[in-house]
Amino acid sequence: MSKAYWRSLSELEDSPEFREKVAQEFPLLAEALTDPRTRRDFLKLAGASLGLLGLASCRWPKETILPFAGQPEGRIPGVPQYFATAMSLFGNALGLLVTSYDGRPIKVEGNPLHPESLGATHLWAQAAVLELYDPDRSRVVVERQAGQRVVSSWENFRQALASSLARPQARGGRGLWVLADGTPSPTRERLRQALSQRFPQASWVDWDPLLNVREAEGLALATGVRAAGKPRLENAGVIASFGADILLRHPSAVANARGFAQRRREGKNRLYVAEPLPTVTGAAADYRLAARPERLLPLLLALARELASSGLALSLPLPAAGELAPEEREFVSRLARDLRQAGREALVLAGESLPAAAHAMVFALNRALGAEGHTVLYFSAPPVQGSLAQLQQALEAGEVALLLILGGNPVVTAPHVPWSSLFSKAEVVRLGLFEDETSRLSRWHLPQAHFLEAWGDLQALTGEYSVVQPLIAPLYEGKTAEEVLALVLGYDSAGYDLVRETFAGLTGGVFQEELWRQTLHDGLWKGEGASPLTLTAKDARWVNELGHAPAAEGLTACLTCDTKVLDGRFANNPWLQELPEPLTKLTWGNAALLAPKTASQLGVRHGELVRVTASGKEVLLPCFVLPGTAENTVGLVAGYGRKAAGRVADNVGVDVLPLFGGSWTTSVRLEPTGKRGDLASTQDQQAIDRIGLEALGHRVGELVREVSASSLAAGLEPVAKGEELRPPMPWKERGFTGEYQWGMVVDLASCIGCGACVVACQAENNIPVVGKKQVQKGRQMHWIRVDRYFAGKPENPKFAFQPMLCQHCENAPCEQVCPVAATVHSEEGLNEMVYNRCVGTRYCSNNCPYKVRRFNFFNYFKDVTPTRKMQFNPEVTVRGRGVMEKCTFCIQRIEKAKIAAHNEHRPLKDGDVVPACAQVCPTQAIVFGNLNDSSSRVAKLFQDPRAYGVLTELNTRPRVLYLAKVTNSEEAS
Amino acid sequence: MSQPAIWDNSHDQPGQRAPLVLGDDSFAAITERVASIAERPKPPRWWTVTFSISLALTVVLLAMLAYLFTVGVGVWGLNVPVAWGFDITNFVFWVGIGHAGTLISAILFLFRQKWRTSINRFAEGMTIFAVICAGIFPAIHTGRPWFDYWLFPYPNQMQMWPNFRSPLMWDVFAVSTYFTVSLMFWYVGMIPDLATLRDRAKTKLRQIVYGVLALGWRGSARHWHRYERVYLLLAALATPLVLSVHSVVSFDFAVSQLPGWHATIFPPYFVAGAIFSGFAMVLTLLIPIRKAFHLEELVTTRHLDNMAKILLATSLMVGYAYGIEFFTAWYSGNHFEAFTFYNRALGPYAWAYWIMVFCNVVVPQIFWFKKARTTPWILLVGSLLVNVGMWFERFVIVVTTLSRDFLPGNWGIYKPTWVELLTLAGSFGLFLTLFLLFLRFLPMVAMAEVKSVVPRAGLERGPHRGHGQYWGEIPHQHEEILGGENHDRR
Amino acid sequence: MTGGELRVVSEPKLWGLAAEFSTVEAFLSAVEACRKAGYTHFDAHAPIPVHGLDEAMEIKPSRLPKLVFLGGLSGCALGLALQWWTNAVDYPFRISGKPLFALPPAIPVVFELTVLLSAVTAVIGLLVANRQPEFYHPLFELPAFAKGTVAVAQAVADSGATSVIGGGDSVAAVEQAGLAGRITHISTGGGASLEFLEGKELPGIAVLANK
Repeated sequence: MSKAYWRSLSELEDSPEFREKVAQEFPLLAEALTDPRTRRDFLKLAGASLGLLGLASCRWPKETILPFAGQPEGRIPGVPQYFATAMSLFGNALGLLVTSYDGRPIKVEGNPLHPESLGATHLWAQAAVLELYDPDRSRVVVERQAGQRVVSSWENFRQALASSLARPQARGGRGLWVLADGTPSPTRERLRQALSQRFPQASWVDWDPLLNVREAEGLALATGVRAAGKPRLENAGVIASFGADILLRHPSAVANARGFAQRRREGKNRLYVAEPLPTVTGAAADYRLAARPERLLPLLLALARELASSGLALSLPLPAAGELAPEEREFVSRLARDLRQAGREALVLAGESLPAAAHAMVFALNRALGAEGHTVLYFSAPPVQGSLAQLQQALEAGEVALLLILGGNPVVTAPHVPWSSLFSKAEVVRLGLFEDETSRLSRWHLPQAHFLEAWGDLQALTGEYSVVQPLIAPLYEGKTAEEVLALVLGYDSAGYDLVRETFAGLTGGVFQEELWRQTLHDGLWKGEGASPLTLTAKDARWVNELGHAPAAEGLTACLTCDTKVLDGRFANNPWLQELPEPLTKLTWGNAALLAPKTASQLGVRHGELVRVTASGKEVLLPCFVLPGTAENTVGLVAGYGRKAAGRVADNVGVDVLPLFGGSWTTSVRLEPTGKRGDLASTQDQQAIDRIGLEALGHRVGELVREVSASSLAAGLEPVAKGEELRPPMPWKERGFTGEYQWGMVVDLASCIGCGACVVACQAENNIPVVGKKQVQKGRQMHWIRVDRYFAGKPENPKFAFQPMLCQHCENAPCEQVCPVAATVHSEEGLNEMVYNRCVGTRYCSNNCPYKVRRFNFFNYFKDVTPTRKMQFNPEVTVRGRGVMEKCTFCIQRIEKAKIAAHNEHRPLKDGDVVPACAQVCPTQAIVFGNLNDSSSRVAKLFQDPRAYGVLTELNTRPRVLYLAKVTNSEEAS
Repeated sequence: MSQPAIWDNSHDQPGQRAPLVLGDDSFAAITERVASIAERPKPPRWWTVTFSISLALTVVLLAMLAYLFTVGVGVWGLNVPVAWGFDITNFVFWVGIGHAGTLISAILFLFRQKWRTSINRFAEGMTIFAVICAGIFPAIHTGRPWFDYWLFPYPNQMQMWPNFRSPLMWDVFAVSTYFTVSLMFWYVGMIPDLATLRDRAKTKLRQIVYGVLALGWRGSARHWHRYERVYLLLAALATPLVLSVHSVVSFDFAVSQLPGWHATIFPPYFVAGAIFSGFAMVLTLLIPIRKAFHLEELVTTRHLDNMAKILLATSLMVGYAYGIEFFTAWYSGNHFEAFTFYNRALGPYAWAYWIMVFCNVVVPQIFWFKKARTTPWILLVGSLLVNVGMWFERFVIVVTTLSRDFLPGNWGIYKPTWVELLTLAGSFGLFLTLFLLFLRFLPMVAMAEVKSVVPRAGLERGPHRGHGQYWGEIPHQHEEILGGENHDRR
Repeated sequence: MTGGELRVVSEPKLWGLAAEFSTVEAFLSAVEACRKAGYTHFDAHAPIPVHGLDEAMEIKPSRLPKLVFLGGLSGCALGLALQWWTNAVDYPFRISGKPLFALPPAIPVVFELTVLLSAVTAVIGLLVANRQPEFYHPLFELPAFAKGTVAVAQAVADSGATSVIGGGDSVAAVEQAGLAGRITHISTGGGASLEFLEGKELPGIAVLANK
């Protein structure tokens, strides 16, 4: 029955003429037509899916959809289920557990079993669920003939493909090119090999700006093996990073952050960072050197020389490093000394922007220090084929008949290639989530299936095999890259079968159902586990490449991919657009980052619109004066200024990539325009005046406390010594009668300020996105605000992050001023907000010393699309206009845990309740639990000498305590 | 009455009481002067013009409210941290204005300040209308105004009650009580004059309307007897009310935890400010109207002089408050507190602060000079500036404080939108509309009361009416009065 | 100084007799005289409260103040009860760790309610005691009364006060032409009239007096 319904609709949708007519007549209606199914039909589908899922939840062939008549085993309506899957980013796999509510994936968590996740995720995984429901995702096959957009169908494409394959087929695949995005998928690899057997002459190129190919190349230089390093920061005592953002933008960022925080909490590691632009890694550093991009190489070389001269067995003919500035010299010598002392606990890392030779050098250093195998393991790098240059040549030479682009968005991420002219020379087929810039130049656009709605598989750098398991039938008629490859290869099998074949192959030929189910359930299959490579150093000719670093004069532009939308692939994701950038706190756009000194030299004011010109091209964008930026350096952030990304991203920010022509740096000219730029930052929206900065200076030390690693080792005095956490009250106090007393601890030593908690909270609690204008007015709705503070000299400041959320004060100032008792205190110590009683006087917000309450100035969900609605967490109210809201300590999770415990006739135990922010945190900086249970982690941490409360002198008695930041520089003590 | 402006009764001479009414002070003349204004068949030109302007502004107000209610409170510039802006600023401003009336009629009545009689009716009217304007803002500033009635303690099927710990609840009671009592005080005081208008009424309509309003008052001795008692009682009740209302309003801030709000000086500081602004507004309105309606003989230079003196006194009080705030901030040794005031004077909103200081502390100092006190146009300019200054005082207290509190991470900036500006303008429109209607149709001077203080009344209104027993006939000529012949015969 | 003149109100039914006085002394002494004569059922009207009139007429001090005090008390009690019962008994909540009910935060509302109820009692009490609104009163029929005020307004004469003696079976009274004449004398306020009043007693008046 429902089947018939779908068919009719799909037929309707599939008739191109009809679509065209509608599209021409009423574009909006065309949208609506392709908009997702109603919730009811959706539930049928969902039910059907789960009907076939059984315990291990396998994907079902779409043909056999059943009505939701019989309740599938183990499924209770309204009770969420969790399925394991995996996500690919930076060429690595991240294991995930996805919450499915009545068949709708609504929340992503980390898979504790997965080595790259360890139960946490990065912010992009959190935002992925919104990407799935993005109403701008492409829904249909589109063919472009002579600039005419024609809605087509997979059937038409299949036929077209057959004909366009004919020529290459005849010539052994000559002229057939595939441009893939380097997803480390075994199935894809299997199909790639099948392809090269079927079409020996066919060529395959992998291109993804986030792939750290230079590291692989560097190791190839040094050892002859394309390998990738897997840092083990949990073992690292002294870490040196040359422009590597290992804590956020790194294939193993989540695991790195975990390892780093583990040791940092005990003050057992010291981090040196030399980088041109501040990153969260640099912010966490004990010694940070703001170095121009050209200086990184000489610094690395100088370090090598220093180490060699200090007797490190580094048998390399090291060229001269050139003159070092005093602070550089100090940095290098101190670093060298520490590295020597650390020995095998040392770790040197280089950023993706450094040349291959630098990575080779890093390998050499790590090996010489004995770090290899202890703080860094080497595995064979994910198979990355060819290069854009080859493809470009082939296209120019007209040797490309059929170009298959699987994912990625080269037109945006590689603007130095003249795609528009090149694409005309070949038949280009593009598979993509969005009908974006690349698709608009291609002959065919194929809708890609999102990883949450299609079968696939991924292999982690360390070898673990994960099945990418769908949680929902494809919302639109999307296919995965593997399915398209299968089409090309002629065997039209569904992704499900493709993956099972691969799995059979990996597990010794025969398909083992049990193992398969186990793998689906656990989210990974260790197999024999890829063992770390044992590499042998080759000749050191590469060392010479280090010698001649370009002399740095003038203004250098330094390219970096955004910490939120990355290379722009997440640009249409409103959560990420509105997430404040960790250091600038910018939302909705990018800026030219300048050091205060440089800015004043150039006569540029903060927020002023500036013109940046390089090699004939120029861009206009606002300037952001960011302390800690290297002098004479302009930080330009990629990922913005999209033209065809969707309703969210289009024309947000400025595309700076054209300035660089494929390189990471370029020398530029920058002049002020006198006009005001259009920045939207959630902190210091207005440049803070002198008296403000002075006050800030006073307060930071009090708000974000610091202890030195040495004092930690020596046995610490309580940082809140002499401060009364609970000053007495003039009246008889009423005790709390609740069985559980909830409390939270935020460890500032662990917090790296990445903002994953902010997105997780937004996903869990249906927090609206308000848009740029509203953010500029100061109306962002995030329940967690990660305050960023600078301290010390603006040239080389110290950075501090402080996640600020509702403190659930026992004497909450907000409560007494509410005239209608819309915010009251629970017996379990929660400051509760009663939305439907709130009249919106906003008095509570005014009286909140932490200003963590958020107000719905408008109905921010007025025009939310039906697909977007599917993401809402049904256990959390969607707030309307005119009511106050704030962090609830994820009370829905507390209640759910209580019910579960009640059903099992047991009290809650520590760890039963984990708020979204605590669960996602890569560094486990947030600990939540029951203060009544003295054995709970949070109760113990409340007694920790590092524990202190913010503004406790107001006798608010916060239930959120902070643990003092731990710094490990010699000055701090 | 030939050019009354020349009579200056603002000077005192030993042992002699200056007359409070100049020119022909016979009952008939007084009645004529006052009542004739309300009896004109056609209003004067300036009235029609100003009325149509203020009516237009009132329409603007309604339009703004409609927009606000349909779209949401986001049409204002508010944000977090600055969740209150123009709304509460205007509320406090208007409530402040609303203080002069009751103060003049009640407190000056108890203090037997006879000169009040010429202006109290007028000031009370102003009070009522100001409180109406004030009441609008708390009502519309909420996120869900359609639920405002939840602030009243009424039994409901939700079985919920408001939270009486909240200063906003105190506001609800204070403002509504103040409005009710002021209204009753005003009306009761007006009954005899309404009766007069009734008796003078020519048209049927007027007879009916004034007849109904006068409640059949006929000046019976027994009525007068009770009437006086009640009037005295109301005055006695209204007096503490005047002090309480703005104290309670100040609690909205003083009871909070914010540095710059959490101050014990707020109640007296606010009350002084309220009287200050109230008298300024009375002067601003009185001076032009006195001229327009030729009331110089009833509202004499002496009246202006007295009010100017009150302005000066209250200005010194608020000036002291401004100063002492800084002192306590410094003396407290609390750096949050200290910064708040540092920031007021030097921060992003310093301009507002200095406008406030100039208008409220500097300008009124000219009233040390009698010339300034007795020259209407100087007074007018001065009082206008004081109005501006007092509005900015509230703006500084509300916005500057909120924009920068404890955690630098949440500091913010608030910019009002055109909606807020037009709403403010509209509230003035409403105020003037009501006020002009009052001038047009009601006795703007308390005739009965004035009559009872003119010498030739030859009557005393009982002990509380104080000194000055005028018996029998007294000379009529102003020369004699000015000549200092003591007409206060006992 | 014009003399007052007698007017017979609304033939044929006589409601009462009125006289108008030009000076306060005359007015007061006439009222005095009436009282001395034992008239209780008479009233004096003036456009402004006349000092000494209360004594002259022996108007008993009003009970309104006591009433108002009671009103205030009930307001106070109401304020306390309301806040205590709603916040501490019927709808208790843990708010800012504060007691469910405490006096200091209750003071403002208690105070306001006290004042409100007192004021309302005062005004309502006034209207009730004065039997107002009373939109018709025979006095209004009297041109002189209207004139009284009108006269005041129209600047014809000085203070006018109208004294009305009468009510009850007026027809009988009217038979006494002489009486009428004498009343004219009264209205002129001469001492003779007073003597006359002291000396003689007239049945018509007596009837009135006994009423």
